[in-house]
Amino acid sequence: MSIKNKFDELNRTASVYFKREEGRLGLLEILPGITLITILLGGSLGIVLLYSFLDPAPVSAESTFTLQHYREFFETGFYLSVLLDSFIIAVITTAAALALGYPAAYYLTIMDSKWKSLYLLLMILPFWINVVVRTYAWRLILGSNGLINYLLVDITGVINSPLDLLYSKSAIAIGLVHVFLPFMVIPIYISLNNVDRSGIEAAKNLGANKLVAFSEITFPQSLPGVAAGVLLVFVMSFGAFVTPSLLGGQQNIMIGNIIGQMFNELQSWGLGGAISVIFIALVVTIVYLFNRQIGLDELYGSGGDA
Amino acid sequence: MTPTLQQTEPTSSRDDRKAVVTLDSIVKEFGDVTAVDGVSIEVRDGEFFSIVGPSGCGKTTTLRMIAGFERPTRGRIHLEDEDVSQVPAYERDIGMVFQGYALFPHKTVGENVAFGLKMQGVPEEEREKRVADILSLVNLPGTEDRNPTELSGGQQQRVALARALVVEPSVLLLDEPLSNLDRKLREEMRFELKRIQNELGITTIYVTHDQEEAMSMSDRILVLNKGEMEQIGEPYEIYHGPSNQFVADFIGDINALPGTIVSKTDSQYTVELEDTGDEIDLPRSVAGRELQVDARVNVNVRPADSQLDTKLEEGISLQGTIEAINFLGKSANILIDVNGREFLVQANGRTAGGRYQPGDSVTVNWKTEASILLQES
Repeated sequence: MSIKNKFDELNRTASVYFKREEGRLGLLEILPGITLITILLGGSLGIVLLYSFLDPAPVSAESTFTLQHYREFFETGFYLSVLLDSFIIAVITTAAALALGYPAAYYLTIMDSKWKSLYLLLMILPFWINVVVRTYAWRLILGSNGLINYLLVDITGVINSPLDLLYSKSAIAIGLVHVFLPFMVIPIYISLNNVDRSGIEAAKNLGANKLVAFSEITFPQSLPGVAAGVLLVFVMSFGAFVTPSLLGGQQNIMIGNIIGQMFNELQSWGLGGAISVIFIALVVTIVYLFNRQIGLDELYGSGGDA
Repeated sequence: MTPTLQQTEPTSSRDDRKAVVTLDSIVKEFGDVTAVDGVSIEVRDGEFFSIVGPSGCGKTTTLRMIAGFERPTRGRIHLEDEDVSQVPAYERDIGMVFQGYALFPHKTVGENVAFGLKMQGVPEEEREKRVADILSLVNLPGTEDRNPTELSGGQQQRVALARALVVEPSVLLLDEPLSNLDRKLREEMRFELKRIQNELGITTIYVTHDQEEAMSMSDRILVLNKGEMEQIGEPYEIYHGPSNQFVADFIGDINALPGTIVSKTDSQYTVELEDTGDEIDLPRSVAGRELQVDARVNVNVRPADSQLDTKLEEGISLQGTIEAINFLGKSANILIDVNGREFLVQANGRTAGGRYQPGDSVTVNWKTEASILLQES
C-alpha cells in the first residue's frame, strides 16, 4: 500500500500547511523549498510585474513607466470576454469533476481493500502519459472524422452530417475534466478514508438510515477533501494552456492561450505581463474568498447544524 | 467440544422478569470462519448481562448482531416479542456505546447527544431539555457547546453513553467501553456505569475481555470461547463453580493439579495426583458433573482459597518449597514449587508477608470444599 501511504503523507503535509502549524523545526524543514520558490517563482513573477508597467518591454534604454497595458486590457472587451469564458469553463470543469469524482472517491473508500491499491494505481496511471498525447486522443474521439461521428454517421446513420464536437468550449471542458479528475478524486478519497466507520454505525444505531448517515456524518467530514479538490481543479483549469489550444481551436481560447500568444507570437511582453498580473490577482482573490467562505481551517474544528 | 451449560436456576424474583433480548441458536460465519457458533441467551428486563471471553471468541460479533450491524447466518434474534433478525440497525430500539466512542468529530457535544432525538423528530425545545438532563446524569452538565475532541477520554466516554441513553432505548449495548481508559479511571467508571444503569433500570449487555470488570458489574455472565458458549451464570457461580477447565482458567487465577480418578463411591471421588502420587478424597459436590473412574481430571483451587501451614479439619495438604514471594501490602502472592509444579497461594499480607523466605519448606493447605474438580479439557 505504498501509494496509499504516499497519499496519506501528502494529506498530512497539506493539513499542516492549512493549519499553519509553523513550529521552529517546521520552518527549518520548509526553508529550502521556500528559498527555491522565492528566487525562481518570485524572481520571474517580479520580472513579469515589472514588464507590465514598462513601454517598451523588455527593458531597454527608451523604456518608461506606463499604465497603458492595463488600460488596453480593460478597454479591449476581447480580453475581458476571454477571461470570463475561461472562468465559466473552469467552473463547469470543476463542477463536472466533482460530480464524477465524488462517487469514484466514495467507491474507492468502501471497496474491498484487496483491490484498493490497484484502483488507486489506475487512478494516477494517466499521469504517466504525456498530457499532449492524452489530449490528442480526444481529437480522435471528438473530431468530424472521429469515433463519435463515425458511430453516429457511418455506422448507425442516426444523423447525416457529422456534429461539430471538436473546437468548442464543451470539448475544452471535457478535456480538462479528463486531465484534472485525479486531483479531485484523491483529496476527497483521503478525507473519506479518514472518516471513522464506527461513527457511521453510531449514526445508524441512533436511527439514521444509510442516506441520512451519509448526509449527516460522512459528507460533512469529507468537505475538507472536497474543498481541496475544488480549489485544485478550479485553479488549474482556469489557467489551462495545452488542452484549450488543442481542443478549442481558433474560436475558443482561454486566458492562458492569450498570455502565451502575447509572449511567444506577438512579442507584446508588456501587455502579456499586464494580463498575467490581472489573472494572478483574480485567482488569488478567488482562492482567498473561497477559503474564507468555506474556512478550510475550521472544517474539522466546529460542527454543522443540529 | 460440546459445552456443558450450567444455567442459573431461578433463585430470585429478578428472574421472573420478561426477556428483553433473546438469541436463539445464533450462528455467524465469515467465509470459512465460524465466529459465533450456536449462542442462545435470554437477557431479562433491567439485567446487567456481560459477555466475556478472550479476543476472537465472538463476543463483539454477537453484540454487533444484536445491534443489527451484522446479520446472523442462522438463528433468530428477538427484541421483546419482535423478531428483529432482518430488521436494519436504524430501526432497532437499541442504544450502543462503541469501543472508540465513535463521537461525531464535526458536531458539538450537544449535537452529538441530540442526534438520536433529531432522528426521531423530537422538537428542538424538548431536545435541548433532554440533552441537558442526560448530560447531568453522566456528570457533564453544561458541556453542550464543547467539541468532543477537546474532551478527555473519560469525558468522551460519558458523552457516548449520554448519546446512547438519551433516546431511551429498551436495551443498552456496551462494547469494551472502558478498554481505552487508564486503570484508575476504569475503576471509577465501573461504579459510574453501574450507578447510571441502576438509576435508569435499563437492560444492558456488556462485552469485555476483562473478567474482573464483568464480575464487578454483572448480574449474569456468559463465557464465550471460539464462538461457543462455555457457561452462563452469576459471577459467584462462574468464579467458584466453573463448568469446565476453560472457564476455570479464564475467570481469575487458578491452580490446576492434574490427576486421575482411581475410585469413586456414592459420596466421593478418590483422585491420584500426577505430581506427588498423593491420593486425595473429594466429595462429589466439588465436581460439576458425574466423572468416571480413570478419567483424567484437574483438581483446581483458587490462590485466595489456599493457605500455608494451617491446620484444617477437612483439608488437603501438599508439601512444597517457596520459590518467590510477591508482597502486595494487604496480601502476598507466594509461589510454591510442589514437586515441580508451580502453585500460587494468595496469603494474608499481615500474617504471611514477613514470615517466609524463598527456600522455606511449607505445607500448602486448602479446605476440601474449596476444590473444583473438572475433567481435563
